[in-house]
Amino acid sequence: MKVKEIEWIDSDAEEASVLVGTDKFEVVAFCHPCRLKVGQSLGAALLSFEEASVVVVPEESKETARKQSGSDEWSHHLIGVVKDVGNRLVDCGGILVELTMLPGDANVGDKIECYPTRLDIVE
Amino acid sequence: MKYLLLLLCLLSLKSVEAIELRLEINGSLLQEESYLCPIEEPNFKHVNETFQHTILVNSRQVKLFSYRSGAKYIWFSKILSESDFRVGRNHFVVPPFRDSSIPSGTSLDKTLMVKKGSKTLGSCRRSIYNLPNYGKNTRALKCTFTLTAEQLYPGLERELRNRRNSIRDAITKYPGLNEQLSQKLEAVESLLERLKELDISDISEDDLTVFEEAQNLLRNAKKEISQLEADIPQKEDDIARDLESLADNAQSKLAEAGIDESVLDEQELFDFEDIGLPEVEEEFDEESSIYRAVADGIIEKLTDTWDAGERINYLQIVSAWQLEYETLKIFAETEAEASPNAYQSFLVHSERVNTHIWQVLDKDGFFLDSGVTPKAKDVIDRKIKPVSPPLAAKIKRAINLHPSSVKKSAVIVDVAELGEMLSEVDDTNWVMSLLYSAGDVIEALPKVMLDTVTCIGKTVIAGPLYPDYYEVRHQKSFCDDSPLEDWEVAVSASSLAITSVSYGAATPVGGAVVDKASKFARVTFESARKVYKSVRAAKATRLGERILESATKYGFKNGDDVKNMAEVAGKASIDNLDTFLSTAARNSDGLALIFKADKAVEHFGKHGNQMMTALGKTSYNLKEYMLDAHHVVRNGQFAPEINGYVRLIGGQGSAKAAFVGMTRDGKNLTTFHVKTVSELKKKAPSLGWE
Repeated sequence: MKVKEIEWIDSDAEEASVLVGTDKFEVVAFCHPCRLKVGQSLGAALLSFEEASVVVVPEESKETARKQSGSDEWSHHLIGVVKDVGNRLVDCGGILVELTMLPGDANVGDKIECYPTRLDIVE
Repeated sequence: MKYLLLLLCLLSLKSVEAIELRLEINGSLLQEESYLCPIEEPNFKHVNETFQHTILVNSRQVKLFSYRSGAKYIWFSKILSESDFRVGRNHFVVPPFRDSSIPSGTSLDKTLMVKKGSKTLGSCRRSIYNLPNYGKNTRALKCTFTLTAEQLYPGLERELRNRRNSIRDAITKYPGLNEQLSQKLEAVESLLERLKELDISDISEDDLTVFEEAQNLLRNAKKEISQLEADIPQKEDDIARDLESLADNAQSKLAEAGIDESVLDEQELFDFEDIGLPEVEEEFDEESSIYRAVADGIIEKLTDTWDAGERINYLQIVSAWQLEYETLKIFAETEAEASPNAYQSFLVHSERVNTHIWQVLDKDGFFLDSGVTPKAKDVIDRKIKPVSPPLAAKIKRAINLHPSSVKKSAVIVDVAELGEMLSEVDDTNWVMSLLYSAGDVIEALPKVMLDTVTCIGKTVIAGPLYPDYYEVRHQKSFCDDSPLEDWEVAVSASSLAITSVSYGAATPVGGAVVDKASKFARVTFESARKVYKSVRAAKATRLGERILESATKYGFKNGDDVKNMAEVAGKASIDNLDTFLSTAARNSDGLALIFKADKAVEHFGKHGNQMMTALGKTSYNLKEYMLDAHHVVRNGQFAPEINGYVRLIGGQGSAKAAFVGMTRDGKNLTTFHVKTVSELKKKAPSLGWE
């Protein structure tokens, strides 16, 4: 999970939209205060902000991590594998996201679908 | 010289490609970071547009390219296109500019190139000099470039050589054919020798017309020569007569066009701008004194132009004479010992010319009948000129040449006197700033000066004041000329006044200066009032006064801050600014916190939706957004790790907090958005939210 592009919303406020990606997927995350550099690897998971419709989906569902077309610029659609139930970590094709909540019956290895309204970088 | 130019022009008129003068400052350095300026009104929103301006120089198209580096360079294109940029004089001068990105001592060598198409013809000779009295990092740039005719018009030399050969062949075939042909051959030979020294700037538009006619005559002569060559049996006498007739015809045409026949003879050539130095003779003959001839020629021209009321031409002749006088003087003094009579002749005849001139002009170059007061002269030559020579020259010219402008010179004196008060604190910018900011004064200025003010006003010199003045006067955006609403005009008017006040107040030289600054502030404020009266924006005036009143009440000292605050207030439909500011959070100086520039609008656009959702609202506007931000600052907890205030938000979903970011100095707001408590726990441990 690397920083591919930084678009400053307001450099004085150190506020930026950051394109974060793996070989498979790219997401646009909010970063403040942002002191990242392009090419930098992100160690911590992205924080999901106010995700909606968190559900367990069939195992054969294809992993995804992408911006939701036609919606708010920060909204994303994620399908990933639960890696850590206690810390609510989900791996979406290499994009690691910490959700605010998981379905009560979710277990490690289950596939989860959700729609975060924003992904925040915590570095 | 004229004959030289004549032939040159004839040939060069055929197909001249555009000359590109590409100006680069520090080459790759600025190129990497630069933008290219638009030629029209600067538009800060489209700084990537190319600045490309085409001007006519002696009927040729000359394209100018200028790089700019950031918004500070927005004036650059205006300077190049409207100011003292004179290609025709073989140089251009960029008026004073200020740019801290160019370190003092920066060499501009190797960066200023003259190009024709993609081919680089050569670099310019240039100099950059500091103007320490004009403020830190203020520079002037003068560039002088010299192009040879061959560089500009490849093939010219070949064509001249062909012509020479053609004439030589004719003479060879018909020995003793015609003396004038021989002279022409010599002239062409001379041209070839001097070609590389050609200065294209000597060519005037009038010359071009005359030269065109002469070109036809010379072509005919050439044709005649060809015919003669084909008609061997024709008697030499007949040929000679024909050619003499042709030559007479050519000379009479030149005479009709106002060119003396002697221009065909280099030895007798007289030209104001290039007088050949006389040969030193042991037996000096006063009757054939070159100094007498020069003086006679100058006096005749001066008399003619003065009698014809051609004041501009008169000044040009005086200017040319002054240049030549210096040259002749050096020569005469050098040779005084060898030829004392010649030196005496120089003294006598130069005095004749000077006496003639001083009957019309005073020593400062003002016409005696112009009625310009000594005070105005003093202001222009000793106050404005050191700060901005181009501006002084234009004002002087306007007043000198147009008697109707004389009354207005009194206004200039008044303005300059105000400026002088502050120039005592070693900030000569004030002289200029006053010129730009005092709207009623500008209204009274002659057009030529108004143009100057408009041009230079967009430079860094007038940066703090002019944009507001422009917006108030024209009720259009300085950046893109879009129409402004009344409240926006009022904002600019208030900013104009406040900026002036803050400048005065910021002048760090003790109590005496404060008094002067206060006086200046009052004067400027009065001017601003007159400005909006002049545009009859009564509503704007009232609103502007209210904004000004509130800004003063709540301690705003900077015009930009007032403008930012008032603009945001306008966009947020805050009707009662006073109430808004009374409830606003304060910084450590006790002043109301505001968003910088348009940041409130930008951040509201980015975060407004999420803020609305987080607060559980169904609608949310800019005014509420700003009020909420102030609420968070007043009632929230400061987190130094992220330099801002946070306050928990209740409601559904995960735990969240509103966050308001501050500028590094803690004086203003930068952002307002929602963060999760999870993030804040990680980023701001000082909150103790573990």
